[in-house]
Amino acid sequence: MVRTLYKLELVEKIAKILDEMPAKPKIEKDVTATEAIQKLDKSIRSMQKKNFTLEEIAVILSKNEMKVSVATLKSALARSPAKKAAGSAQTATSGDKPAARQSRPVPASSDAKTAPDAAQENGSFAVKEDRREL
Amino acid sequence: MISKLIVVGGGKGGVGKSLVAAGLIDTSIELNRQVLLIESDTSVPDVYKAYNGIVKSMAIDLDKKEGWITLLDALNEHDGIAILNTGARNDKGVQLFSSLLMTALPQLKCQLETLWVIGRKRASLELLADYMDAIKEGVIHVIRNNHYGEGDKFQLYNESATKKRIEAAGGKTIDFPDLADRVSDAISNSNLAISKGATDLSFGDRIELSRWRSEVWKTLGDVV
Repeated sequence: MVRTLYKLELVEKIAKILDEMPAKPKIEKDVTATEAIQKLDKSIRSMQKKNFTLEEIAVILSKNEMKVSVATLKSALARSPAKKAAGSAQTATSGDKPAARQSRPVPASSDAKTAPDAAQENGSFAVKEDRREL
Repeated sequence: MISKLIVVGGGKGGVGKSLVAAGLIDTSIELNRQVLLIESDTSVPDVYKAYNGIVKSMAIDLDKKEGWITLLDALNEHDGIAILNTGARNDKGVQLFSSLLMTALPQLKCQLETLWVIGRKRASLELLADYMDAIKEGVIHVIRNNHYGEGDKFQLYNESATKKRIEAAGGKTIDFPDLADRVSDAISNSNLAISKGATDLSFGDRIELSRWRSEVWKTLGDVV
């Protein structure tokens, strides 16, 4: 399989363009398209939060000499170590609320798959566990 | 900051809201969106059971005003998109308290979109008309669940004034792909997230799930 390689300077230039972050430290070797996209994971997610689609991001990358398909973008991001770290951050519970908000009882949420207490006063409800036998 | 609230409604039991909601969450994760799931189906909170622990999830009773206030707090504090899965009986709460949400949306700078899931029965459209009377903001898309047939089989909807109203207001009519019964049963009976099903089911089931999943990403990608 033929791999497309990109100069690290190009990866650094695109990172700046995407989110104006400081330049990344130089790495001695060239990287593959997948590696390049995974290095840009945070910048790309930041662009998505700014309502850019993957199609639009692929166009921006292509205009900056990194020609990648949307399929390659999706595949690389799905396998990105940064996504796996973000995925664990997605399991955040109501405990993530700022301290100032804790004056109300905490709504029934997320501890994984345990039977929560009875419905809270703030309109949340208890999610019953499935019966063991039917 | 919250960018979008997507309500998955249908008002009628058994039209496939939960699978559409799961597909929407899965598509959002695939597109790297930060998802807040609000489960409001107090009778069958199956989407919460599947996704609690995978995305930030809350179970809120929207038959109560306090629940709507808690919903607004959650939207105000979330950075990303929120997906609200409704239950078959949530219409009363919507009619009584949705004005709170309508007041809050402009202040949150949050778009509202609704995916209204229909089968081929009249009740789907009656309840949709009630919803459209109660919710004047945002865009409503109608999801024809192809489990009940191809899009052209939804004759009552296809020939209705409601379809014209939906599309005149910028909404779309979307066909949601059918998933083989044995695979959807395996997913729902074990409260599996789609991503879990993609690793835990049998080989054949995984192949069918993967096919369906790609279709769902294509179908719902624009909504997310």
